[in-house]
Amino acid sequence: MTYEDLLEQEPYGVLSDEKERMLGELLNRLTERHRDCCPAYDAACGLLGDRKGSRLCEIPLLPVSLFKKTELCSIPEEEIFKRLTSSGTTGQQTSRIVLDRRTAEWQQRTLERIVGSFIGGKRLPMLIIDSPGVLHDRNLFSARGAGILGFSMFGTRRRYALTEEMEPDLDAVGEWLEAAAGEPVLVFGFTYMIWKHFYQALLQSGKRLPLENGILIHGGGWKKLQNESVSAERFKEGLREVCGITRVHDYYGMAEQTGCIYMECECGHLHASSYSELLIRDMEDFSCCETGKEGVVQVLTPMAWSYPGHSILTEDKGVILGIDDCPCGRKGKYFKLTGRIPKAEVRGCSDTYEG
Amino acid sequence: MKDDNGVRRLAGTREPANIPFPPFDTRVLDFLDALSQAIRMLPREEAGEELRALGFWLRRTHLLDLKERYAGGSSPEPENRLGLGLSFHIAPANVPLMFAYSLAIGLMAGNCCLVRVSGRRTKEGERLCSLLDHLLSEDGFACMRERISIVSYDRENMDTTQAFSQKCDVRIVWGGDETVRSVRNAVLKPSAAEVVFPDRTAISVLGAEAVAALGEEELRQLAAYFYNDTYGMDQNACSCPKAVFWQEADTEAGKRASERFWNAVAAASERYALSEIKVSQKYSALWELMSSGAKVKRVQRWKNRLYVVESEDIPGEALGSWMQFGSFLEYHMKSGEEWTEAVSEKTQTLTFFGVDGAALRETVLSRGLRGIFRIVPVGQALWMDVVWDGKDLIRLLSRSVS
Repeated sequence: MTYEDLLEQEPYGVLSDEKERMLGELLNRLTERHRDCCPAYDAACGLLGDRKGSRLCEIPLLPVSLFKKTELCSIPEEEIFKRLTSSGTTGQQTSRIVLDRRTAEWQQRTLERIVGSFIGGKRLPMLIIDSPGVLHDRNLFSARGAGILGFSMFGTRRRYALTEEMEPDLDAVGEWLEAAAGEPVLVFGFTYMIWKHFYQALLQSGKRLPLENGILIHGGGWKKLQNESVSAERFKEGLREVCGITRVHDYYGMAEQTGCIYMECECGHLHASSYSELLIRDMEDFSCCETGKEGVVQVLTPMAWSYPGHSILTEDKGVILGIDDCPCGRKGKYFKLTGRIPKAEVRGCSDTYEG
Repeated sequence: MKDDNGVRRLAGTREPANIPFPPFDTRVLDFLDALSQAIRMLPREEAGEELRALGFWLRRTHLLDLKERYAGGSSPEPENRLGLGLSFHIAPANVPLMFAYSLAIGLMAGNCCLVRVSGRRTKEGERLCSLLDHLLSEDGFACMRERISIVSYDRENMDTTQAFSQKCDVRIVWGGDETVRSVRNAVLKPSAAEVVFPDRTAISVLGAEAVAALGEEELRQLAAYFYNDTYGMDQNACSCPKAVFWQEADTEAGKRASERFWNAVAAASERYALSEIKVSQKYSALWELMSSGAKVKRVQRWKNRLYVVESEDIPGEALGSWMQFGSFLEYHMKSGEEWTEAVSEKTQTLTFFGVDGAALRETVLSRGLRGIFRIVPVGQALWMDVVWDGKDLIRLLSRSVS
């Protein structure tokens, strides 16, 4: 079996046990491959102890921050197709991910399979809740730009909803919507941008946009909105009020496993697709948490071919809500995120002056 | 409540005086002893380990011991010395009670003290400030009222740092290189002195035979001391050891001692408040170290509480920067003196067990090492002293009248 074969599977049609078997085999082979091809990864795995086993929980956990500190690569220099960078959290160092053509293509096809199952097989007119400037500004490009480019393959007649000044361009959007003539449209953007520059601006202007036939897909995290006490419910409610949109899907993903996203279903649960898996770890000893117990999120996918990022320990917290039995009908694990690992005060005498 | 300059008074006066006392003046010692008693009278639940340690440090017998050290021999009598006047202390944010030690030393040297503490409020810090204010309101301590000023203001408030720096006779800056660099932008008046504490690190030298020979209870005690020296400050203070050097007669003995020791430390570390962020940072640092190309022989993990990285090369200060929250380098020495090669001017403290401390000091002196400012038994890494980082603070904060 290869990742290509895995991509043939329905994105949400594989029962958890079967998935564990398929991913286990692929991921273990991938660990061997990365150990053979990436000396730094091999050195670390060797020192952590050789735990030969086929279970997902036995695959070495690589901390996500490592991609910020060093470039990890499992392909020869001449096969490097591009380097992806992510801004991570504002003000921090960026991750550098090395891609070959194969991995880049897999990323795209993975996203296509996952998102396709939510919006249907055919491309839709696409409204991007951002400013066209986002693709030109090199500082912004990394995270937001890459997300927009990635999702653009699902869209036709792409239209940016915000001006360069981050104001809604209501006239242009209105015209664009008329041309769509009541057909379904895809609306895409980053959670905070949508709330701040689209929802709030619409609310203030008192105007409404007829997006009843829209499907909104948004990502990028809730941290900023949580600071403003905006819950997921409030977010959906607010958007329904200003543009009548009812099909709203959040997603969870990261630059270190681009394309392999976790989509929110109609029941408000995030789902692992057939192409990746999610484990929750207890930080006392990295034991796996049972359903219902909160811990730190680990993401695994056999998609990571060109760099050893097939098993990553994130800095996000979450909890498994159930397996194979979400009322939405999708198989596999579903979960919710519960925030970032809280920053705590660290003792010591190195940053005296702070605070 | 902040005043117009963005300064919040936490204890004492907002306008400290500039009146020198002789070092170890009775009025000062009486006051500090009263503070010690007040701390020790607090119910257990109100006084954590650190506050109790401060109370113990400030008790009269200890203060008199310190005074005694300056009385005899060739050093000038404290009677022939006077404090510099007004000392300005910038205390570390993440060693919550450090400001109190800095204050006590400033007072003992004979100064009026202006102390800047972090805006991060800690329960123990606030408790201490209210005890100080309470004591200062007593008639018997009226003479101390103008001598103590504890304030807090934002680090961005350089105007205030500048104003205080112009006013003081000596400035004491605790904490890392960055703080020292930043505070140095505030110009002192020409006559003022400065004492700074830049980034430092620490190592341990342990004797394998002695560790192997310990009874279970003694071993448990040694591990508890080692735990206090390191985990007590998230292994992040200047004097918390990052690397352990084994002095051993043969490899087998070293191996046995190491195994016993780390198992005991792992058991002691069960009481450590291990948070998710600490594990996340510690595990990331371990990966960085393992993938850095450093010659690592072996990594042992006791859950996520204790990591021990056995190094094949003498582990220098660069590797040490990865060791935090209960993560240690270890190195088995062949000659018994390779630890000296790990020492740089940044190495502050050396803790030891089962080896001869005097011989270690002799090595530092005879080899003229750039680092090592104090050599103390395991368990005393964090013990505060009036001589810190190789600097005699009583002398530096006072002047001699010959």
